[in-house]
Amino acid sequence: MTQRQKKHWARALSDAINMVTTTAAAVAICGYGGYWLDGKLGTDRWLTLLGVLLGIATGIKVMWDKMSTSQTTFSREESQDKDKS
Amino acid sequence: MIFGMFDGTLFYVGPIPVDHLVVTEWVLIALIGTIGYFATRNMQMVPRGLQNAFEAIIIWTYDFFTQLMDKEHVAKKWAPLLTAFFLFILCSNYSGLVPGAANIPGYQPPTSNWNVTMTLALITFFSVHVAGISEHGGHYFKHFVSPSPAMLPLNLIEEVAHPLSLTVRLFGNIFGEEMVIAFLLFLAPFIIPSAIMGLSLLLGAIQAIVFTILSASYIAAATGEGH
Repeated sequence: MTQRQKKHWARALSDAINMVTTTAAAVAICGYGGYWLDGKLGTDRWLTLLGVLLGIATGIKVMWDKMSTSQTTFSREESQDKDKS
Repeated sequence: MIFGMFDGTLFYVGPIPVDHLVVTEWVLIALIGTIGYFATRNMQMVPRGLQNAFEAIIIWTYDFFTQLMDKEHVAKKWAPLLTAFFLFILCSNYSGLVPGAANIPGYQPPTSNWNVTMTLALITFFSVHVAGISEHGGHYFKHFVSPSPAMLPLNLIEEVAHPLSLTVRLFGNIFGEEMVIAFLLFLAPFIIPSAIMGLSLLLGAIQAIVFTILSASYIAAATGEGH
């Protein structure tokens, strides 16, 4: 296994765990926040729904960030490899 | 006391109450510190024994964190903290499996209490921002409004979600594992719990690795070129 493949393995594992756990935590935080506000304001589950959607949006944003960072890193390493060869 | 979960105070240091969790943490810190002391007491150019083992661990962790982070100097700077996290969490997770530990009234592994995991997660949280500021200076805060100021709420939620996910995952896994072992010991002592305890060895190591990898990943993201 080359150094680059090893690097991708470690980074891919951390990115995967990061995306999943951050999405779950964001949905939980926003969902609970909305639920608490619903109780305070009497808005009948609308803010809970809004919170969950906000959490999902955060999860999608995290995934987008990770994918674009990975793509940038991969392109840079590929061009470095081409320059060497 | 519910299934070995005991929140009583053992003694006081001045006005500060000290419970069994704190004592267990002190014992673990002393254990790791003592092993570290003996490993580095009489350093030789050609390492042998404990020094050799410790050097192997240090080289492996430097190599691993360098793979995770873009910048080698950042990996070298933060590897001691991350390695300490790994060793402390691993020893904490395994402390529940020490023979006779279940006979100590109120004993539980520190990582099966969310106060401990939250503390570790908060250390990570502050370390991430310290790493980001030390790498990028004031420009670090621009990432909160990146790619546009409209993303500020999502970026803030993401920052708060990191310590929560670290806390809940580690606490949930270790607490759940302790509960399962306690139930099985109650229902069928000796043979059946030992299978789960064997599985706990694997689970304890995985949780320690996951916490460390995630902390490294957050630091790498804060110090990366995207910020």
